[in-house]
Amino acid sequence: MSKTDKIKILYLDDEVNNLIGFKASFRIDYTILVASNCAEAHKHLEKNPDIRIIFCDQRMPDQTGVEFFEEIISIYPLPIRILLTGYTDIESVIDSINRGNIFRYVKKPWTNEDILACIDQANKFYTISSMLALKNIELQKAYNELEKFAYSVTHDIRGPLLSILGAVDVAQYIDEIDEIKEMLRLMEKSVKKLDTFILNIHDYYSLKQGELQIKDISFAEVVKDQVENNKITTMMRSINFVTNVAQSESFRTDEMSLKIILNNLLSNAFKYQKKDNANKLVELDIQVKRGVATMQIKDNGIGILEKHLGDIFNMFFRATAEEVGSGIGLYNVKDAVNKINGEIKVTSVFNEGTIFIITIPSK
Amino acid sequence: MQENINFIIIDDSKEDCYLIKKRLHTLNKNYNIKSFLNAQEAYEYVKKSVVETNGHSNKNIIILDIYMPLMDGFEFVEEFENLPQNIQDNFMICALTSSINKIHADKISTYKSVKFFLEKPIKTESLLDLIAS
Repeated sequence: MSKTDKIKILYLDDEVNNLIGFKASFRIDYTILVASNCAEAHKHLEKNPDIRIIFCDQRMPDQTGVEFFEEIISIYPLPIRILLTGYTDIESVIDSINRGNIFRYVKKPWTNEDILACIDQANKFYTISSMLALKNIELQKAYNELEKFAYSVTHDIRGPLLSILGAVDVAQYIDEIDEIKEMLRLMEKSVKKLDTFILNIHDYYSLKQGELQIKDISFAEVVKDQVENNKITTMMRSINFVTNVAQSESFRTDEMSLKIILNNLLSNAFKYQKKDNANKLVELDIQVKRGVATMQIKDNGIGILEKHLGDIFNMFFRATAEEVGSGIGLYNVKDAVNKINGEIKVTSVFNEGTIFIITIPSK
Repeated sequence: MQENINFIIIDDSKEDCYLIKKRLHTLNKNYNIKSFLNAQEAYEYVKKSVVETNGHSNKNIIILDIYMPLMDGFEFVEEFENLPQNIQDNFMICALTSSINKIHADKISTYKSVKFFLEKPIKTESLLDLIAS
């Protein structure tokens, strides 16, 4: 066990001889801090938030051990509190244990075995409660996400449905066949919007729950697929889609995560273009070197305002009202990048374009 | 009484803007309708609007969606209520709500400048009520 891994223990006792004895017995296996009065103990607690266990003598001149524990419990709730005492104080000890202020008591004079057993139990208890605290934080986070999720999902699913209902309704009031056809086109758009949203949600859950399926990746193939899948989009929007791949070694990762990353980033790059730009350009560059793949996706589109850059990977955040978006795409990208231990960086100049750089280690 | 009405539609869904516009035009082809996908732009437009002072002012109705990216309906209303009184008096805000989000509907109704509500999907009768109000 290295020095930093040692359990940190504070011992408070007004008899200096006890402090010396305690330290001498346990300093090899634990980091021992000692204090001969409450003020010193407070200083140690303030400086060492990682103190796990506090031993405290009951009989001290300025404060009893029980009083000291009562005082610190609200400020330092985490350390496990253990009282050292003789039989004569047993009434106040029982009371204190019952009120949950101390974890154990060790009767004086103590033996090393008593103390060691106590440290072991206290440490187990500490580990379990801090794990629980950590789990609670995670749970709260998941709950907040779920709440936001449920809200946005109802909005994003209902939105297109209401548009369709609206279009059906308007169609009943018009007789021109062209206008009715226009309503049909509008319904088609709404259905597609809904479909895209559902596909995003599907990605979201596959990322959350799916196991990684590591396999050999040929980036040339991956890029070829992307060019093929986006042929119609790039043609319709007259976007120049330039790709470059340099891979001379094998590379292994989860293909599904990789696809989610590229699909979303490329679809954004195609989507958020300046409408009046005659030279719309999207570049995809992939280099594999020494077990690391670096993918760069660069566009000369509308860009992202600097103040929004910190938020773009947050769920349901949208930096623009242009175009249709659910606010899930980039969240999924970030999730996918994390899942394959990669990193993602973004730089953007508003009205000039955006560059995403993703680095992924081979598995 | 055939007065003309100006509508400003603020909704981040292009389809919904178009539908409301289409729907209003089936009621009366002469309505002057402007739509914004972005509440900030709509706000700038309203802020710069010139108030007719010849006594014969047109009716100006703002149809406002609540849930939007960037500036949402609440923020729009808050900014709107800071505008000079004569501009505020010139417009009537109608909030677009959805029956699912009752909390939002309740919250938006606490703003004094929000005078009317339309629930999605929009019914012709409610539009007629809005126009008559």
